[in-house]
Parts: sequence; C-alpha cells; structure tokens
Amino acid sequence: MSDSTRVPARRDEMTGAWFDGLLSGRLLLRVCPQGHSSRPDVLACDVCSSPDLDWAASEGRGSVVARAVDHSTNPPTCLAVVELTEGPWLITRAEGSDVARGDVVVVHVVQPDRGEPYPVVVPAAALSALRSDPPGLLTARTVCASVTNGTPSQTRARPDGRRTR
Amino acid sequence: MAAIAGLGLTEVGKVYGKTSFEFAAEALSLAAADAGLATSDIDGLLINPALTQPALDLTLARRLGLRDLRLLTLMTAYGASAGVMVAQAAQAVDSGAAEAVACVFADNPRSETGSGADAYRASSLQALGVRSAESAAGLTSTTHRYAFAADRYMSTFGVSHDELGAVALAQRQWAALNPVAAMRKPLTLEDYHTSRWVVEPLHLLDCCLVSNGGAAVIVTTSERARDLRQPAVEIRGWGQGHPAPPFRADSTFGLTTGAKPSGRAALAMAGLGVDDIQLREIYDCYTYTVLVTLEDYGFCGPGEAGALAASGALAPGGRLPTNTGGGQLSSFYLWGMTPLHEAVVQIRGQAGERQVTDHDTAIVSGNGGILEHHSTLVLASEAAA
Repeated sequence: MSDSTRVPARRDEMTGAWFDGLLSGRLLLRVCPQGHSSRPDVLACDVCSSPDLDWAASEGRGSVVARAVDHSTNPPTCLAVVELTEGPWLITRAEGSDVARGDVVVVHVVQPDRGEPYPVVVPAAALSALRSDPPGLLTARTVCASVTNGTPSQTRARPDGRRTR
Repeated sequence: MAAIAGLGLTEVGKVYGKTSFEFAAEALSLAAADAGLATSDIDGLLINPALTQPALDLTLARRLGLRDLRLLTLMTAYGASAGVMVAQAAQAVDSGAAEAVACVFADNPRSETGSGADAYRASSLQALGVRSAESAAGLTSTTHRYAFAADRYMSTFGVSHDELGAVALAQRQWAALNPVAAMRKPLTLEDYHTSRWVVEPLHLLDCCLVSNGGAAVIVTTSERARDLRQPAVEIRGWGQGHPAPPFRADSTFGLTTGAKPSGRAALAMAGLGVDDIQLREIYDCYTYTVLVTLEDYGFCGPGEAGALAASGALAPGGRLPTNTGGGQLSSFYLWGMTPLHEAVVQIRGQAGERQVTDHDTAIVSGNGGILEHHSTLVLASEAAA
C-alpha cells in the first residue's frame, strides 16, 4: 500500500491544533497543570485525570516498545509503538530501516499529497548514518519531497531533509 | 438463578445472499424451537449489532413480529458482547423484568468477491483525528494493533512461535471432530510456520476466520428451563473488565487483560475456583489471546500458557480442554457467540465426537476492541456442585 492508496488523515474539532503543530514540524502532546504528558486524543490526563489540558511540543524522540510488520504491502511496512521521552506512546510507521524493541527513534512528519500531515519515526542509527548533525524533527515540506518523488515511503525510504530544530 | 434454555446457530461461514436481519431471524427461531418455546413466548430481546453495515437495529423486534416486549435494547462491548448480554438477560429474569430473554448476534462481513479481512478495515477508514493519522501511516486494521500486543507479550515473556502454533494445532484437532467447523484438515507445526505473515508476528494461522451467520440463546429462570426441552445450562457467574491501560510508559498493554478482573468476579459469584472449571471456551481472535486469557484466569502463571499449549494440555485428551469446537480460529467467527455456543453444547452433553468427559462447568470469555473490553461467564449443568 503506497501513500496514495492509504486513506488520508483528517482533522476533527479537537485535533486542529495537533495537525497545525505537525504542519509546523512539531509533534504536540496534551499536558496537564502538573506537567504530565498524555496522548493527543485524551480528554483527561492519563496520569492524574485532570481535564485541564494544554498543548506542548514533544522533543520528538523515543524508544521502540513493540514492533509489527505488515506483509500485505510491497515492500512490507514496519510499524512501531514508540514510547516518547515524555511518556506517551506514539503508534505509527517506522521508516528508513527495520526497528527492534529498545531502538531509539526520532519523529518525522510526512506531508502526503492528500490529507493532513502525520508523524512517522526513523531509527536514530539510520539517521546518523545519513549525516552527522544531531537528529530532530524534519519539516513537513522536506519529507514531502521524498514522498512525492516516487520513493516508496515504507521501510526502505531514507529521509534526507534538513533539520529545523 | 437464570439458565440458558435455547440455542440457535444458522449455517455459518461462506454463506452469501443473506442480510444480518435474516441471519438473526433464523437464529432466533432456531433457539426458540430448541428450547421448545414459541417466538411469542419471548418477552425480552437483546441485540448485539456487528460492525458491518447495515447492522442489526431495534427494528428487528418489529420485523420479527415480537410484540409487547418488556425488555428491548441494542448492546455492544464488541467481542465481549455475548457475555455482557447473557449477564444482562440473567439479571432481567432474576428480577422478574422479563421471563424469556433472547440474546442475538448476526453479521455478514464476507462478500463473494472481497477478502474477509476487508470488512474489518471499515472502522479505521472512517476514522478522524489522531486515529486517522495512524491509519494514514499504515495502521488500517485490528490485526496491526493485536500484532503489537502479541509482540510485546512474546518478547516480554519469551513466548515462541512454536507455542503460538500449538494453540492453532490444538484447536484444529478439536475442529476435526466438529461437523460445524469450517477448517477441519489436520495441521502440522510446519504448516503453521509456513503460513504467510499477515502482520508479523502473526501468521495467517494465528488469526481467526471471518464468517457470515447468526447465533442466539434464550435465557430464562432455572425453574422454567427445567421444564423445557433441553438440559438447563445455569448461569452461575458473570463479570466484566475494562482496564483501559493508558498508552504510555509502564502500560500493561499486551501483558495482562481485563480477563483478570472479569474472571475473578465471575468465579467468585459462582462460588467456584479455577480448579473447578472443566471447560475453557476462550475468545480466540488470535492464538495469542488464548494464552494471555488462560493466564489472566489463573490456569497458569504469567507467561506460562505457551508452555501449557506446547505440552498438549489444551488439545483433545489434554488436561485442560480448551476451545473444544475449534474456536474462532478453526470453526467459525461470530464474536463471543462462538465460545458461548460451544460451552452450551458441551455442558448439555451434545458435542458428539468431541464431547469432553467431564463437562459440568465452563468458563466463557469475551474480548472486545484491542484487549479493551472483557466479559466472563461461568456456566454449569444442574448437576454441578
């Protein structure tokens, strides 16, 4: 399944700010007054149940908690549950190379032709092989180039855009 | 006390050309006839709509000609629904709110042209917000999420594919003895290992079937059930568990499930211990869920069920007969009606070639969402202590 055949991401009333964050190259999380971070779709803090939630940017790094590989796509799509350094889990596709439990990964934003942007992760090891800069979030536009120039966006894609943060 | 007095199962599997409403009508009429009741004796109806559209709705009652019902509602906890419905029906007959409550599920996800799995992608494809971003990234089916759970479970406890495969093999042995089962050809571990990956670490033979069909049970008081056509199957205990572990650091996702609290509650209500249970009918959307549920119910310790399966304990002739009709993996997939149906058949002693010798008590599990919703029933014959 390529990006063009996948169903596009769509914002709803409560995720406008989250998608706007992705558009500006930031992965936003919900944060409560006590500073606990939660996934972006929660209605109350995952730790203390506070309903008083604001948005805050993740530093965009984490480690792989679980891995799965969808063999119905060509090439197979590597999927991962990633524990962000702030605590919440991000569930998405891993690009650049296969991942294993415990691998450190970095969040990137993909801007497909259709629909809203969405986060993916790239193993930090694969990234440092590409360049010596410390990794960080890439801009949507940079990653967009690697998608639209025909490179399959699954496990063998190699994002090579510039760093923004 | 309440009891299951009637059981109805339509032709199931690759059965085309019928709506869910037609399957439901047929299942209900079979269940009433099985109990020796007229459909006009039914005064309560609990309906579990599936995800395939159009799904069952409240018009089912009117279209069936069920008049003057005293209890009628749609219920869902996804795969946990059957246990939740039967518990609700038991409470209704215990309280006198109704006397004969039918619980029905029907679904027609398969089409002659598409793959069965396609039917279960629909909810991901309609998603908005964060869930839609996950779909766009490639998480388009339930199996992707169960693959994460299985991966975490396998890597945490060191459970092998041989052990997952042992579940598939044991259930296929049971299915070979079940004339209703869709998949009856014997399996080898090699067949298991060479079956294609669906979503690694899940092979095709780790995944349940997708079936069209309908099933219904009729719940009434034990006293009335005694006077009806079939041996009464008493509803001794029930429980639910909705643990919703947060998706964050220290989550128990994949390692333990709501089967733990729901099993504990159901056994306590029945006044039985896990060692008193003779039959295990476990919700087996994947081989992995059989293992984690057996652990959560206390048939073994955390991470030990794989070795139990590999020892042959779950198979015909084994120490802990489990999913004795072949389950959702090899027989048919009608959500929680699959394990419930088999428990009723076994307790009645009507399981033919696959009949388990000691069949007075059964534990029946339901699992809905991605390990999010659990139900447990403890069922027993009248003779059971």
